[in-house]
Amino acid sequence: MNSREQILGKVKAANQKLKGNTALPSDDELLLARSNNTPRSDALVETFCTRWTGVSGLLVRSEEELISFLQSQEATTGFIDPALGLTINKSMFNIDSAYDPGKVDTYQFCITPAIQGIAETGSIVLNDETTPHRLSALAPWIHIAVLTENSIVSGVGDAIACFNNDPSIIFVTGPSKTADIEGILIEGVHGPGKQVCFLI
Amino acid sequence: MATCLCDTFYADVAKASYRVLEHLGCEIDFPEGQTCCGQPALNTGDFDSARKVIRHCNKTFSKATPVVIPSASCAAMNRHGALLGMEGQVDEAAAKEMAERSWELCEYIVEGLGITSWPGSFPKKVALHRSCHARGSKAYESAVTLLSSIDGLELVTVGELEQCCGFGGTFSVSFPHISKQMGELKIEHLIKNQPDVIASVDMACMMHFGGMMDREENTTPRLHVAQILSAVLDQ
Amino acid sequence: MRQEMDQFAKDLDRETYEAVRSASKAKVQQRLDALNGDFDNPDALRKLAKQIKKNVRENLGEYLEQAEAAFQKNGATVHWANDSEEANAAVLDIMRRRGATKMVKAKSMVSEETELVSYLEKYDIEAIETDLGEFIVQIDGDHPSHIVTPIIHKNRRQVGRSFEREGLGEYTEDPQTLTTIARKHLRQKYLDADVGFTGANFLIAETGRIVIVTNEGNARFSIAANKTHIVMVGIEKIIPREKDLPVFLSLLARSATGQALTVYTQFISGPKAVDQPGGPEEMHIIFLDNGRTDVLASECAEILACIRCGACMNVCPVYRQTSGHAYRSIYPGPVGAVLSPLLDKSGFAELADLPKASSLCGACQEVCPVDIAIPDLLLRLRNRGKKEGAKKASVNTPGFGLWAMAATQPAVWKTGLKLGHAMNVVPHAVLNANPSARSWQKTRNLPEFKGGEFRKWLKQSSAQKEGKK
Repeated sequence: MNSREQILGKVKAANQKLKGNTALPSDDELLLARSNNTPRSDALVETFCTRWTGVSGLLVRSEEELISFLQSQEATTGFIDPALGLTINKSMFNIDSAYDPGKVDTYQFCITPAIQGIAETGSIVLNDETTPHRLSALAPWIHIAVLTENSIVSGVGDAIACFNNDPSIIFVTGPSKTADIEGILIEGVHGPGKQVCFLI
Repeated sequence: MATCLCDTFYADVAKASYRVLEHLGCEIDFPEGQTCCGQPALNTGDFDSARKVIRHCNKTFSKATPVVIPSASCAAMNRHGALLGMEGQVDEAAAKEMAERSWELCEYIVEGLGITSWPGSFPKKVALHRSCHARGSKAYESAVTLLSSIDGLELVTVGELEQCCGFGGTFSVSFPHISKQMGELKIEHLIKNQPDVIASVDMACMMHFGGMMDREENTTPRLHVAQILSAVLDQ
Repeated sequence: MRQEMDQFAKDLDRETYEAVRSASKAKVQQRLDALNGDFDNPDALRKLAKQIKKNVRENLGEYLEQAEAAFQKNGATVHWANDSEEANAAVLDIMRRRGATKMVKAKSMVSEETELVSYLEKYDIEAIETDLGEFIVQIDGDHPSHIVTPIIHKNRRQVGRSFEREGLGEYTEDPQTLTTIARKHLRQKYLDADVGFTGANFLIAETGRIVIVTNEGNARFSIAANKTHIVMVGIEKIIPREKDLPVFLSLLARSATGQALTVYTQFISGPKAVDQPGGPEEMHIIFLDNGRTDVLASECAEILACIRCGACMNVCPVYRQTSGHAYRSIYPGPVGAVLSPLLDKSGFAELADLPKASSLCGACQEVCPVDIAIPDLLLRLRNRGKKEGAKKASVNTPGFGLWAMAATQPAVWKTGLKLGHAMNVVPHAVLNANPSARSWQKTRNLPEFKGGEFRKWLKQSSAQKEGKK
């Protein structure tokens, strides 16, 4: 008997002993998981923006705002996913259109797509398929996720219901943070310290 | 059910509870054979001894009437602890049956009899301790309802209500340092808003932090809620 | 002789006590604000989560098989480990086959159970903790004292001294600066490593996904920067269907830190997508038993519902007095008081005092997102301790054999009520012959003994009423 058989054998014997018939909840009952922050469909964008900024997410609504923001951070070296079709004036910045992992600590900012937004929690959704390189959305101090308004869903449950077989789906809810030292909140640990959503 | 603590130390609380129920027009039966609910033994893990006492309790209170108890702790034992202790025993049905008709005193008055206001006047600031065994019942809320309905009685805020006073039955003597520390924190919270009286639905808790207050010569009076309810009836 | 945890509490230094107390109070409030602010009926949600986990325990065998098939379909490899030895050996084997010598790991309590890091170090494999708190624990040769916030027992000055000692930078006690130092230092470790190791908060049986929940981004980085991802997860972490997940996600972060969601909620089903240049080419998942099947078969099976949020230890008044290290095991606090005696390699008898170190106040159950009846489980373990004659459990515990005898014989009881009056006239020092009385009287006065007074009063007033009739 290998380990698998040993473990399953013990588990199933214990299951027999428990002799229970507890049902799983119905779809109606599962609605309890939707918090009061889950908006109606006419308030998706507004709620998303409020919640996103509430978790220290930064919001820009136009390329002008984006450029202003980058200038305010004195960030000039970055990577922008060409699939986004952004028309940022390249002369102001030093931009790669192919992500070079060797420059992981050189890029001050990276711009990549988000596939969804979640209004309930102020989260953006990233995945493997649409992220040019995993490190491009994770490593730089400033990450800008481009999100279209019509891909904002109401709640966490709605986002999960949309899951396909992408191997790495991530809900990002603000900049990376820790409170390990005396419970004091610090932003920018291993992930971005400035997490921007460019909402179009 | 008078409880073993009232039978031994807090006779006044049992008297007050009796008078309160009498005032409400209840026909009160006091089965002479009663002793203890069995909780002290159960809590040390001595389920064998606990079962003996639970069985005696079930037999003593076998008449199908509400069992009213001036202790959230003993009420919780009847309603939950005893069921745990008697799990799988051939006679566990008797414990289940008694659980259905066991009540803490204030909860019986408010939820059982539907009485939400108490007569009389008690112009004092009262700090009401929330005993842990009030969890899972309406004992605390009922005490709040009754006390705050009394003329002039002001319930002061007590902070960190969810923090245990540190009695825990034999815990108080098995882990004396931790118990003392917890007691001191509780006393600090109870007296913070300068109450005239500290009240409780549980004499067990009060024996512990009250004993500490006596040792420290803190003379803030301590009363079981039943004693307040009874006192205002004399007016 | 004192109970070990009582002694530990007595010896605890003031600094640690204050750090633990203030952090615990803050988290209790944050949890309340989040749950009561965002839900009309948080208790209904907790009960739903409890129900789902009960279904999981009853059908765990099928769910594990379903999960295994789903993960394999997604391109991941599933391993099964009976115990620590097998789990650690599986990790070593994977690393060897991949020619890997450097690991970066995210926080994982099961890897603490198996002592993975010290095992790998014996084979010259560098395994670096990347969660800031665990990193600090690692460089200090310390142990975490809380399952979510590992260094709740340390303050910033201690962290500053540790960083300086390790040559990470000049002394600073500014948390922002310390974090920046750690970011730079660990960044290089991620990039130099070969393998990313994580645990999993949830295992979805239906679709073969693991869920990892962090704030720092260290799990993301451990995985994104490496070509091999190894996961170790306890078999009880199963969630049946994808649609059950929101119930747990809505409870976990709120219970742990008062957040609606942690910053990163990752859903990982296999190695990287074919076109994705970054991330693992291989994903391995080790299903760990390590005593869980014994717990599942025991009267304490319900403890396997635990989703490791830490809310119980945040609210526990005893944990606040002792801090986490007093529990002498991986899992502290109320969950640890049940789980450790059952799972820890020390064995039940060694940890039989843990279930005793509780006033059974029930605050833990009240905050538990899966509504585990911890006080009931503690009582069952106390019963086991008594039946097995576990010495550590019985220290300073009065016996109740005589008590039970008196409490079942009313005549004896009533005699006791009479005799007890001696207490009021005898010097209380004499009572100290009884160890419980001595322990009591160290810090508290005993009340006046009034045995039988109520009964006498009752007889008299009944007689009066009869007389009046």
